Amino acid sequence: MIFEAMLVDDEAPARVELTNQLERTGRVKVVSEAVCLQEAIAKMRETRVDVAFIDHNIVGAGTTLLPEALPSIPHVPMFIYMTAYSDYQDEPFGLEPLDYLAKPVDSNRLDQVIQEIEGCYKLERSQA
Amino acid sequence: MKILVLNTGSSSLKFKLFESAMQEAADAFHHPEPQLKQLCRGLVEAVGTEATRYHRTDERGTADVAVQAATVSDAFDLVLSDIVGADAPLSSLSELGAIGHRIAHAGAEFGCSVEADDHVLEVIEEYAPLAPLHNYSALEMLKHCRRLCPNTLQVAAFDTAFHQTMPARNFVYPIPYRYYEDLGIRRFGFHGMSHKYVSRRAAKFLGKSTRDLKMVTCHLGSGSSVTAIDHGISMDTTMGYTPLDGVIMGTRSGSVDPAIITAIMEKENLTPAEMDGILNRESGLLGVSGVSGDLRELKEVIRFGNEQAELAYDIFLTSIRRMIGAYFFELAGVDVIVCTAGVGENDPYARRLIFRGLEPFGIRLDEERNMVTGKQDRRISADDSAVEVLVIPTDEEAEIARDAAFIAAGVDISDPWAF
Repeated sequence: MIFEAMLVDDEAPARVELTNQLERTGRVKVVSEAVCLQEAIAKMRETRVDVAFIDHNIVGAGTTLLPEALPSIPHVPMFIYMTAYSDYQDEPFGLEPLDYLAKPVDSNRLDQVIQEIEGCYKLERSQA
Repeated sequence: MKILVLNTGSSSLKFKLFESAMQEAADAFHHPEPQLKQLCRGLVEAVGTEATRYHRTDERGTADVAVQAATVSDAFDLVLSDIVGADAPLSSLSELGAIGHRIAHAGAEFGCSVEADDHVLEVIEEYAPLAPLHNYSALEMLKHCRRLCPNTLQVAAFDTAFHQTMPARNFVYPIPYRYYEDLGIRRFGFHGMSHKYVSRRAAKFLGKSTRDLKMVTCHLGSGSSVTAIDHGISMDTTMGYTPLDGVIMGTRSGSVDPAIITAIMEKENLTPAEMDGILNRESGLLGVSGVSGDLRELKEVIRFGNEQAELAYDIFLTSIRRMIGAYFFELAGVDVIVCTAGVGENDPYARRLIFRGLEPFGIRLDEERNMVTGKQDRRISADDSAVEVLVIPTDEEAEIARDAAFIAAGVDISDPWAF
Protein backbone atom coordinates (compact mmCIF):
# COMPACT_ATOMS: atom_id res chain seq x y z
CA MET A 1 0.00 0.00 0.00
CA ILE A 2 1.38 3.38 -1.05
CA PHE A 3 -0.50 6.20 0.66
CA GLU A 4 -1.51 9.23 -1.38
CA ALA A 5 -0.75 12.47 0.43
CA MET A 6 -1.54 16.15 0.26
CA LEU A 7 0.93 18.75 1.55
CA VAL A 8 -0.43 22.05 2.85
CA ASP A 9 2.26 24.66 3.44
CA ASP A 10 2.75 28.21 2.19
CA GLU A 11 6.50 27.72 2.02
CA ALA A 12 7.23 26.09 -1.32
CA PRO A 13 10.74 24.89 -0.31
CA ALA A 14 9.23 23.12 2.70
CA ARG A 15 6.79 21.32 0.41
CA VAL A 16 9.58 20.22 -1.89
CA GLU A 17 11.69 19.04 1.03
CA LEU A 18 8.88 17.01 2.59
CA THR A 19 7.88 15.57 -0.79
CA ASN A 20 11.41 14.30 -1.22
CA GLN A 21 11.50 12.86 2.30
CA LEU A 22 8.13 11.16 1.95
CA GLU A 23 8.78 9.73 -1.48
CA ARG A 24 12.19 8.41 -0.44
CA THR A 25 10.39 6.11 2.00
CA GLY A 26 8.55 4.48 -0.94
CA ARG A 27 5.44 4.30 1.23
CA VAL A 28 3.89 7.72 0.55
CA LYS A 29 3.32 9.52 -2.74
CA VAL A 30 2.48 13.24 -2.81
CA VAL A 31 -0.41 13.75 -5.22
CA SER A 32 -1.65 17.18 -4.25
CA GLU A 33 -0.39 20.42 -2.75
CA ALA A 34 -2.03 23.52 -1.31
CA VAL A 35 -0.79 26.75 0.22
CA CYS A 36 -3.66 27.48 2.58
CA LEU A 37 -6.54 25.76 4.33
CA GLN A 38 -9.21 27.03 1.94
CA GLU A 39 -7.35 25.61 -1.04
CA ALA A 40 -6.69 22.36 0.80
CA ILE A 41 -10.38 21.93 1.57
CA ALA A 42 -11.36 22.71 -2.03
CA LYS A 43 -8.88 20.11 -3.26
CA MET A 44 -9.94 17.47 -0.73
CA ARG A 45 -13.46 17.83 -2.09
CA GLU A 46 -12.14 17.17 -5.59
CA THR A 47 -9.40 14.63 -5.08
CA ARG A 48 -9.23 11.73 -2.67
CA VAL A 49 -6.11 11.62 -0.49
CA ASP A 50 -5.29 9.25 2.35
CA VAL A 51 -3.32 11.64 4.48
CA ALA A 52 -2.83 15.42 4.68
CA PHE A 53 0.31 16.99 6.14
CA ILE A 54 -0.72 20.50 7.24
CA ASP A 55 1.64 23.21 8.44
CA HIS A 56 0.23 24.63 11.68
CA ASN A 57 0.98 28.20 10.62
CA ILE A 58 -0.81 28.54 7.29
CA VAL A 59 -3.63 30.95 6.52
CA GLY A 60 -6.75 29.39 8.03
CA ALA A 61 -5.07 28.27 11.25
CA GLY A 62 -6.98 29.32 14.36
CA THR A 63 -10.30 28.99 12.54
CA THR A 64 -12.86 26.21 12.55
CA LEU A 65 -12.89 25.97 8.75
CA LEU A 66 -11.66 22.40 8.73
CA PRO A 67 -14.19 20.75 11.07
CA GLU A 68 -16.95 22.75 9.37
CA ALA A 69 -15.84 21.49 5.97
CA LEU A 70 -15.62 17.81 6.96
CA PRO A 71 -19.20 16.90 5.94
CA SER A 72 -18.50 18.19 2.40
CA ILE A 73 -15.33 16.08 1.97
CA PRO A 74 -16.25 12.68 0.49
CA HIS A 75 -13.20 10.93 1.93
CA VAL A 76 -11.76 12.59 5.03
CA PRO A 77 -8.01 11.93 5.15
CA MET A 78 -5.86 11.40 8.21
CA PHE A 79 -4.31 14.67 9.40
CA ILE A 80 -0.72 15.22 10.46
CA TYR A 81 0.15 18.72 11.68
CA MET A 82 3.56 20.12 10.91
CA THR A 83 5.23 22.60 13.23
CA ALA A 84 8.51 24.45 13.19
CA TYR A 85 8.48 24.95 16.95
CA SER A 86 8.73 22.57 19.85
CA ASP A 87 5.75 24.10 21.67
CA TYR A 88 2.79 22.78 19.78
CA GLN A 89 -0.16 25.06 19.32
CA ASP A 90 -3.20 23.22 20.66
CA GLU A 91 -5.31 21.99 17.81
CA PRO A 92 -4.68 24.92 15.46
CA PHE A 93 -7.46 23.75 13.16
CA GLY A 94 -10.04 22.80 15.79
CA LEU A 95 -9.54 19.15 15.05
CA GLU A 96 -7.31 16.58 16.67
CA PRO A 97 -4.64 15.27 14.33
CA LEU A 98 -3.33 11.74 14.14
CA ASP A 99 0.07 13.13 15.14
CA TYR A 100 2.42 16.09 15.02
CA LEU A 101 5.68 16.34 13.08
CA ALA A 102 8.33 18.93 13.94
CA LYS A 103 10.18 20.63 11.12
CA PRO A 104 12.82 19.95 9.92
CA VAL A 105 11.50 16.42 9.81
CA ASP A 106 13.70 13.74 11.36
CA SER A 107 13.66 10.58 9.24
CA ASN A 108 13.19 8.22 12.23
CA ARG A 109 10.28 10.28 13.45
CA LEU A 110 8.79 10.32 9.93
CA ASP A 111 9.09 6.53 9.87
CA GLN A 112 7.16 6.36 13.14
CA VAL A 113 4.41 8.60 11.78
CA ILE A 114 4.07 6.52 8.61
CA GLN A 115 3.74 3.42 10.78
CA GLU A 116 0.95 5.18 12.64
CA ILE A 117 -0.73 6.02 9.33
CA GLU A 118 -0.45 2.37 8.31
CA GLY A 119 -1.85 1.24 11.66
CA CYS A 120 -4.73 3.67 11.48
CA TYR A 121 -5.48 2.59 7.91
CA LYS A 122 -5.56 -1.09 8.90
CA LEU A 123 -7.81 -0.31 11.84
CA GLU A 124 -10.23 1.60 9.62
CA ARG A 125 -10.23 -1.22 7.10
CA SER A 126 -10.96 -3.82 9.79
CA GLN A 127 -13.81 -1.72 11.13
CA ALA A 128 -15.31 -1.00 7.72
CA MET B 1 -25.21 43.69 -18.71
CA LYS B 2 -22.89 46.53 -19.67
CA ILE B 3 -19.93 47.45 -17.50
CA LEU B 4 -17.86 50.60 -17.83
CA VAL B 5 -14.33 50.50 -16.41
CA LEU B 6 -12.51 53.73 -15.59
CA ASN B 7 -8.79 54.08 -15.01
CA THR B 8 -8.32 57.60 -13.74
CA GLY B 9 -4.84 59.09 -13.62
CA SER B 10 -3.79 62.53 -12.45
CA SER B 11 -4.21 63.97 -15.96
CA SER B 12 -5.76 61.18 -17.97
CA LEU B 13 -8.86 59.05 -18.10
CA LYS B 14 -8.78 55.63 -19.74
CA PHE B 15 -12.00 53.71 -20.19
CA LYS B 16 -13.33 50.48 -21.60
CA LEU B 17 -16.92 49.40 -22.03
CA PHE B 18 -17.78 45.71 -21.83
CA GLU B 19 -20.81 43.57 -22.45
CA SER B 20 -20.88 40.86 -19.80
CA ALA B 21 -22.89 37.66 -19.60
CA MET B 22 -22.59 35.20 -16.69
CA GLN B 23 -21.95 31.70 -17.86
CA GLU B 24 -22.00 28.61 -15.74
CA ALA B 25 -18.45 27.36 -16.07
CA ALA B 26 -17.61 23.75 -15.40
CA ASP B 27 -14.17 24.50 -14.03
CA ALA B 28 -12.72 22.62 -11.11
CA PHE B 29 -14.17 24.96 -8.53
CA HIS B 30 -17.62 25.45 -9.99
CA HIS B 31 -18.34 29.11 -9.97
CA PRO B 32 -19.94 31.03 -12.82
CA GLU B 33 -17.56 32.99 -15.01
CA PRO B 34 -18.45 36.25 -16.76
CA GLN B 35 -17.93 36.21 -20.51
CA LEU B 36 -16.73 39.67 -21.47
CA LYS B 37 -16.90 41.34 -24.83
CA GLN B 38 -15.22 44.70 -25.29
CA LEU B 39 -17.56 47.21 -26.97
CA CYS B 40 -15.56 50.40 -26.81
CA ARG B 41 -12.31 51.78 -25.47
CA GLY B 42 -10.81 55.22 -25.28
CA LEU B 43 -8.63 57.75 -23.55
CA VAL B 44 -8.72 61.41 -22.63
CA GLU B 45 -5.13 62.54 -22.23
CA ALA B 46 -3.41 65.69 -21.00
CA VAL B 47 -6.48 66.71 -18.99
CA GLY B 48 -6.19 70.24 -17.59
CA THR B 49 -3.77 71.42 -20.29
CA GLU B 50 -4.08 73.14 -23.66
CA ALA B 51 -3.33 69.88 -25.44
CA THR B 52 -6.19 67.70 -24.17
CA ARG B 53 -7.13 65.01 -26.71
CA TYR B 54 -9.81 62.37 -26.90
CA HIS B 55 -9.29 59.01 -28.63
CA ARG B 56 -11.96 56.39 -28.91
CA THR B 57 -12.35 53.13 -30.85
CA ASP B 58 -15.56 51.15 -31.25
CA GLU B 59 -17.84 49.78 -33.98
CA ARG B 60 -18.32 53.29 -35.31
CA GLY B 61 -14.61 53.53 -36.01
CA THR B 62 -11.92 55.67 -34.47
CA ALA B 63 -12.21 59.22 -33.14
CA ASP B 64 -9.19 61.37 -32.35
CA VAL B 65 -10.02 64.97 -31.55
CA ALA B 66 -8.72 67.93 -29.56
CA VAL B 67 -11.07 68.70 -26.66
CA GLN B 68 -11.28 70.85 -23.54
CA ALA B 69 -11.43 69.30 -20.11
CA ALA B 70 -10.19 71.08 -17.01
CA THR B 71 -10.68 68.12 -14.66
CA VAL B 72 -11.10 64.36 -14.91
CA SER B 73 -14.80 64.83 -14.15
CA ASP B 74 -15.08 67.09 -17.21
CA ALA B 75 -13.25 64.40 -19.17
CA PHE B 76 -15.79 61.82 -18.05
CA ASP B 77 -18.73 64.03 -19.08
CA LEU B 78 -17.08 64.38 -22.46
CA VAL B 79 -16.70 60.60 -22.78
CA LEU B 80 -20.35 60.09 -21.87
CA SER B 81 -21.50 62.60 -24.46
CA ASP B 82 -19.73 60.44 -27.05
CA ILE B 83 -20.53 56.90 -25.92
CA VAL B 84 -24.17 57.44 -24.88
CA GLY B 85 -26.68 58.10 -27.66
CA ALA B 86 -28.72 56.64 -30.49
CA ASP B 87 -25.87 55.12 -32.54
CA ALA B 88 -23.46 54.90 -29.64
CA PRO B 89 -22.56 51.71 -27.72
CA LEU B 90 -24.78 52.82 -24.81
CA SER B 91 -28.35 53.93 -25.54
CA SER B 92 -28.72 55.47 -22.09
CA LEU B 93 -26.81 55.67 -18.82
CA SER B 94 -29.34 53.41 -17.14
CA GLU B 95 -28.13 50.58 -19.37
CA LEU B 96 -24.94 50.45 -17.28
CA GLY B 97 -25.03 47.59 -14.78
CA ALA B 98 -21.84 48.65 -13.05
CA ILE B 99 -18.96 51.11 -13.20
CA GLY B 100 -15.58 49.72 -12.17
CA HIS B 101 -12.90 52.06 -10.88
CA ARG B 102 -9.22 51.27 -10.70
CA ILE B 103 -7.83 52.39 -7.35
CA ALA B 104 -4.06 52.46 -6.91
CA HIS B 105 -3.74 52.20 -3.13
CA ALA B 106 -6.00 50.96 -0.37
CA GLY B 107 -3.29 49.52 1.83
CA ALA B 108 -4.19 46.18 3.37
CA GLU B 109 -7.84 47.11 3.86
CA PHE B 110 -9.28 45.01 1.05
CA GLY B 111 -8.30 41.61 -0.31
CA CYS B 112 -10.61 41.88 -3.31
CA SER B 113 -12.68 44.37 -5.30
CA VAL B 114 -15.69 45.75 -3.41
CA GLU B 115 -18.74 47.92 -3.89
CA ALA B 116 -17.61 51.52 -3.37
CA ASP B 117 -19.65 52.67 -0.39
CA ASP B 118 -18.87 55.57 1.96
CA HIS B 119 -16.40 53.52 3.99
CA VAL B 120 -14.48 52.55 0.85
CA LEU B 121 -14.26 56.21 -0.17
CA GLU B 122 -12.83 57.06 3.25
CA VAL B 123 -10.16 54.36 2.91
CA ILE B 124 -9.19 55.60 -0.56
CA GLU B 125 -8.80 59.08 0.87
CA GLU B 126 -6.80 57.76 3.83
CA TYR B 127 -4.26 56.14 1.52
CA ALA B 128 -4.19 59.00 -0.99
CA PRO B 129 -0.98 60.51 0.45
CA LEU B 130 0.79 57.25 -0.52
CA ALA B 131 -0.46 57.41 -4.12
CA PRO B 132 -1.27 61.08 -4.61
CA LEU B 133 -1.22 61.03 -8.41
CA HIS B 134 -3.85 58.32 -8.64
CA ASN B 135 -6.01 58.14 -5.51
CA TYR B 136 -7.19 61.76 -5.43
CA SER B 137 -8.34 61.79 -9.04
CA ALA B 138 -9.91 58.33 -8.75
CA LEU B 139 -11.74 59.56 -5.66
CA GLU B 140 -13.01 62.62 -7.55
CA MET B 141 -14.20 60.29 -10.32
CA LEU B 142 -15.95 57.94 -7.92
CA LYS B 143 -17.83 60.79 -6.26
CA HIS B 144 -18.71 62.23 -9.67
CA CYS B 145 -20.06 58.86 -10.88
CA ARG B 146 -22.09 58.37 -7.72
CA ARG B 147 -23.74 61.77 -8.30
CA LEU B 148 -24.30 61.12 -12.00
CA CYS B 149 -25.52 57.52 -11.73
CA PRO B 150 -26.82 57.14 -8.16
CA ASN B 151 -28.53 53.83 -8.97
CA THR B 152 -25.58 52.20 -10.70
CA LEU B 153 -23.29 49.83 -8.83
CA GLN B 154 -19.87 51.43 -8.33
CA VAL B 155 -17.05 48.94 -7.85
CA ALA B 156 -13.59 49.81 -6.53
CA ALA B 157 -10.79 47.51 -7.74
CA PHE B 158 -7.50 47.92 -5.91
CA ASP B 159 -3.96 47.49 -7.18
CA THR B 160 -2.98 46.33 -3.71
CA ALA B 161 -5.74 43.73 -3.15
CA PHE B 162 -4.22 40.73 -4.93
CA HIS B 163 -1.07 40.89 -2.78
CA GLN B 164 -2.89 40.76 0.55
CA THR B 165 -2.27 37.00 0.65
CA MET B 166 1.46 37.54 1.20
CA PRO B 167 2.72 35.89 4.38
CA ALA B 168 4.08 38.17 7.10
CA ARG B 169 7.67 37.07 6.36
CA ASN B 170 7.30 38.85 3.02
CA PHE B 171 5.43 41.99 3.99
CA VAL B 172 7.07 43.04 7.28
CA TYR B 173 10.16 45.19 6.74
CA PRO B 174 13.22 44.51 8.89
CA ILE B 175 12.98 47.83 10.73
CA PRO B 176 11.71 48.32 14.32
CA TYR B 177 8.41 46.45 14.56
CA ARG B 178 6.62 49.52 15.97
CA TYR B 179 6.65 51.12 12.50
CA TYR B 180 4.52 48.27 11.27
CA GLU B 181 2.26 48.31 14.32
CA ASP B 182 1.90 52.06 14.78
CA LEU B 183 2.33 53.51 11.29
CA GLY B 184 1.23 50.57 9.17
CA ILE B 185 4.51 50.55 7.26
CA ARG B 186 4.68 47.24 5.40
CA ARG B 187 4.91 45.89 1.88
CA PHE B 188 1.61 46.22 0.01
CA GLY B 189 2.53 45.45 -3.59
CA PHE B 190 0.91 46.90 -6.72
CA HIS B 191 -0.16 46.03 -10.29
CA GLY B 192 -2.39 43.44 -8.61
CA MET B 193 -5.09 43.44 -11.27
CA SER B 194 -2.49 42.82 -13.95
CA HIS B 195 -0.65 40.02 -12.11
CA LYS B 196 -3.96 38.35 -11.29
CA TYR B 197 -5.26 38.64 -14.84
CA VAL B 198 -2.16 37.28 -16.57
CA SER B 199 -1.69 34.44 -14.06
CA ARG B 200 -5.20 33.19 -14.71
CA ARG B 201 -4.84 33.60 -18.49
CA ALA B 202 -1.51 31.76 -18.39
CA ALA B 203 -3.04 28.80 -16.54
CA LYS B 204 -5.91 28.73 -19.03
CA PHE B 205 -3.44 28.84 -21.94
CA LEU B 206 -1.72 25.77 -20.51
CA GLY B 207 -5.03 24.01 -19.84
CA LYS B 208 -4.38 23.98 -16.09
CA SER B 209 -5.63 25.63 -12.93
CA THR B 210 -3.60 28.37 -11.23
CA ARG B 211 -3.95 26.17 -8.13
CA ASP B 212 -1.56 23.64 -9.59
CA LEU B 213 1.14 26.03 -10.76
CA LYS B 214 4.04 27.99 -9.39
CA MET B 215 4.49 31.17 -11.40
CA VAL B 216 6.56 34.30 -11.71
CA THR B 217 4.73 37.13 -13.47
CA CYS B 218 6.72 40.08 -14.84
CA HIS B 219 4.75 43.27 -15.46
CA LEU B 220 7.30 45.33 -17.39
CA GLY B 221 6.12 48.76 -18.45
CA SER B 222 7.03 52.30 -17.47
CA GLY B 223 6.35 51.02 -13.97
CA SER B 224 7.53 47.46 -13.44
CA SER B 225 6.98 44.76 -10.88
CA VAL B 226 7.64 41.05 -10.58
CA THR B 227 5.43 38.74 -8.50
CA ALA B 228 5.85 35.22 -7.15
CA ILE B 229 2.51 33.38 -7.37
CA ASP B 230 2.18 30.03 -5.63
CA HIS B 231 -1.00 28.08 -6.38
CA GLY B 232 -2.77 31.19 -7.64
CA ILE B 233 -2.00 33.43 -4.70
CA SER B 234 0.53 36.20 -4.44
CA MET B 235 3.40 35.12 -2.19
CA ASP B 236 5.86 37.93 -2.81
CA THR B 237 6.18 40.98 -5.03
CA THR B 238 8.85 43.56 -5.76
CA MET B 239 6.86 46.75 -5.17
CA GLY B 240 6.52 47.61 -1.51
CA TYR B 241 5.00 50.25 0.71
CA THR B 242 4.77 52.37 -2.42
CA PRO B 243 5.31 51.63 -6.14
CA LEU B 244 8.84 53.04 -5.82
CA ASP B 245 10.31 49.76 -4.55
CA GLY B 246 11.62 46.84 -6.55
CA VAL B 247 13.11 46.75 -10.02
CA ILE B 248 14.40 49.83 -11.84
CA MET B 249 11.66 51.66 -13.79
CA GLY B 250 11.26 54.48 -16.32
CA THR B 251 11.82 57.34 -13.89
CA ARG B 252 11.70 55.47 -10.55
CA SER B 253 14.83 54.14 -8.90
CA GLY B 254 13.42 50.88 -7.58
CA SER B 255 15.29 49.44 -4.58
CA VAL B 256 18.45 51.28 -3.58
CA ASP B 257 20.62 51.23 -0.48
CA PRO B 258 18.50 53.26 1.99
CA ALA B 259 21.62 54.98 3.28
CA ILE B 260 22.04 56.67 -0.11
CA ILE B 261 18.85 58.60 0.49
CA THR B 262 19.90 60.13 3.81
CA ALA B 263 23.41 60.76 2.44
CA ILE B 264 22.10 62.73 -0.56
CA MET B 265 19.60 64.63 1.56
CA GLU B 266 22.38 65.67 3.90
CA LYS B 267 24.91 66.58 1.20
CA GLU B 268 22.45 68.57 -0.92
CA ASN B 269 20.32 69.83 1.96
CA LEU B 270 17.10 68.44 0.49
CA THR B 271 13.62 68.23 1.95
CA PRO B 272 11.82 64.84 2.00
CA ALA B 273 9.54 66.06 -0.82
CA GLU B 274 12.54 67.01 -2.98
CA MET B 275 14.19 63.65 -2.36
CA ASP B 276 10.94 61.90 -3.15
CA GLY B 277 10.83 63.79 -6.46
CA ILE B 278 14.37 62.69 -7.32
CA LEU B 279 13.62 59.02 -6.62
CA ASN B 280 10.22 58.99 -8.34
CA ARG B 281 10.72 61.29 -11.32
CA GLU B 282 14.42 61.77 -11.99
CA SER B 283 15.82 58.28 -11.41
CA GLY B 284 15.50 54.90 -13.08
CA LEU B 285 16.25 54.62 -16.80
CA LEU B 286 15.97 58.40 -17.15
CA GLY B 287 18.30 59.07 -14.26
CA VAL B 288 21.06 56.74 -15.40
CA SER B 289 20.83 57.44 -19.14
CA GLY B 290 20.19 61.16 -18.87
CA VAL B 291 18.19 60.70 -22.07
CA SER B 292 14.79 59.14 -21.48
CA GLY B 293 12.74 56.90 -19.24
CA ASP B 294 11.26 55.19 -22.29
CA LEU B 295 13.03 51.99 -23.31
CA ARG B 296 12.15 52.51 -26.99
CA GLU B 297 13.90 55.88 -27.03
CA LEU B 298 16.84 54.45 -25.12
CA LYS B 299 17.33 51.74 -27.71
CA GLU B 300 17.43 54.40 -30.43
CA VAL B 301 20.32 56.24 -28.80
CA ILE B 302 22.07 52.99 -27.88
CA ARG B 303 22.30 52.28 -31.61
CA PHE B 304 24.35 55.45 -31.93
CA GLY B 305 26.72 54.39 -29.18
CA ASN B 306 25.33 56.18 -26.11
CA GLU B 307 27.08 54.28 -23.33
CA GLN B 308 25.05 55.68 -20.45
CA ALA B 309 21.85 54.62 -22.19
CA GLU B 310 23.28 51.15 -22.67
CA LEU B 311 24.21 51.03 -18.99
CA ALA B 312 20.64 51.99 -18.01
CA TYR B 313 19.28 49.22 -20.24
CA ASP B 314 21.69 46.70 -18.69
CA ILE B 315 20.73 47.72 -15.15
CA PHE B 316 17.05 47.30 -16.07
CA LEU B 317 17.49 43.81 -17.54
CA THR B 318 19.71 42.67 -14.69
CA SER B 319 17.27 43.86 -12.05
CA ILE B 320 14.50 41.82 -13.70
CA ARG B 321 16.71 38.72 -13.97
CA ARG B 322 17.75 39.09 -10.34
CA MET B 323 14.15 39.08 -9.14
CA ILE B 324 13.06 36.19 -11.35
CA GLY B 325 16.00 34.27 -9.95
CA ALA B 326 15.12 35.23 -6.38
CA TYR B 327 11.54 34.05 -6.81
CA PHE B 328 12.69 30.89 -8.58
CA PHE B 329 14.47 29.98 -5.35
CA GLU B 330 11.77 31.35 -3.05
CA LEU B 331 9.17 29.11 -4.73
CA ALA B 332 11.66 26.21 -4.98
CA GLY B 333 11.37 26.19 -8.76
CA VAL B 334 8.63 27.55 -10.99
CA ASP B 335 6.44 26.04 -13.70
CA VAL B 336 5.65 29.20 -15.63
CA ILE B 337 7.15 32.64 -16.20
CA VAL B 338 4.86 35.27 -17.72
CA CYS B 339 5.93 38.51 -19.43
CA THR B 340 3.39 41.29 -19.80
CA ALA B 341 2.82 45.07 -20.23
CA GLY B 342 4.56 47.41 -22.71
CA VAL B 343 8.09 46.02 -22.57
CA GLY B 344 7.14 42.47 -21.58
CA GLU B 345 4.73 42.12 -24.50
CA ASN B 346 6.51 44.08 -27.22
CA ASP B 347 10.25 43.87 -26.70
CA PRO B 348 11.63 40.51 -27.86
CA TYR B 349 15.21 41.78 -27.45
CA ALA B 350 14.68 42.57 -23.79
CA ARG B 351 13.08 39.14 -23.29
CA ARG B 352 15.97 37.42 -25.02
CA LEU B 353 18.51 39.16 -22.81
CA ILE B 354 16.52 38.52 -19.62
CA PHE B 355 16.31 34.77 -20.28
CA ARG B 356 19.64 34.06 -21.95
CA GLY B 357 21.95 31.46 -20.51
CA LEU B 358 19.33 30.00 -18.18
CA GLU B 359 19.28 26.52 -19.73
CA PRO B 360 20.85 25.00 -16.58
CA PHE B 361 17.67 26.14 -14.76
CA GLY B 362 15.35 24.59 -17.33
CA ILE B 363 14.57 27.85 -19.12
CA ARG B 364 15.13 27.95 -22.88
CA LEU B 365 13.49 30.41 -25.28
CA ASP B 366 12.57 29.52 -28.83
CA GLU B 367 14.09 32.33 -30.93
CA GLU B 368 11.36 32.28 -33.57
CA ARG B 369 8.49 32.19 -31.12
CA ASN B 370 10.08 35.03 -29.18
CA MET B 371 10.08 37.25 -32.28
CA VAL B 372 6.34 36.82 -32.92
CA THR B 373 4.42 40.06 -32.31
CA GLY B 374 0.74 40.66 -31.66
CA LYS B 375 -1.91 40.76 -28.97
CA GLN B 376 -2.44 37.00 -28.64
CA ASP B 377 -1.40 34.88 -25.64
CA ARG B 378 1.64 32.89 -26.72
CA ARG B 379 4.43 30.56 -25.63
CA ILE B 380 7.96 31.76 -26.28
CA SER B 381 9.83 28.91 -24.61
CA ALA B 382 11.11 25.92 -26.59
CA ASP B 383 9.25 22.60 -26.44
CA ASP B 384 12.03 21.05 -24.36
CA SER B 385 12.11 23.93 -21.86
CA ALA B 386 11.15 22.60 -18.41
CA VAL B 387 9.82 26.03 -17.47
CA GLU B 388 7.10 27.48 -19.71
CA VAL B 389 7.77 31.10 -20.68
CA LEU B 390 4.66 32.89 -21.93
CA VAL B 391 3.74 36.33 -23.22
CA ILE B 392 0.25 37.25 -22.01
CA PRO B 393 -0.93 40.76 -22.96
CA THR B 394 -2.40 42.30 -19.84
CA ASP B 395 -5.88 43.80 -19.60
CA GLU B 396 -6.43 45.32 -16.17
CA GLU B 397 -9.75 46.80 -17.29
CA ALA B 398 -11.07 43.35 -18.24
CA GLU B 399 -10.05 42.05 -14.81
CA ILE B 400 -11.88 44.94 -13.13
CA ALA B 401 -14.95 44.28 -15.32
CA ARG B 402 -14.81 40.60 -14.29
CA ASP B 403 -14.81 41.53 -10.60
CA ALA B 404 -17.62 44.06 -11.18
CA ALA B 405 -19.67 41.41 -12.99
CA PHE B 406 -19.24 39.02 -10.05
CA ILE B 407 -20.24 41.69 -7.52
CA ALA B 408 -23.23 42.74 -9.66
CA ALA B 409 -24.32 39.08 -9.74
CA GLY B 410 -24.06 38.88 -5.95
CA VAL B 411 -21.11 36.46 -6.01
CA ASP B 412 -18.86 36.59 -2.93
CA ILE B 413 -15.33 37.02 -4.31
CA SER B 414 -13.60 37.49 -0.98
CA ASP B 415 -11.87 34.09 -1.15
CA PRO B 416 -8.70 34.79 -3.14
CA TRP B 417 -8.21 31.09 -3.80
CA ALA B 418 -11.53 30.77 -5.58
CA PHE B 419 -11.28 33.84 -7.84
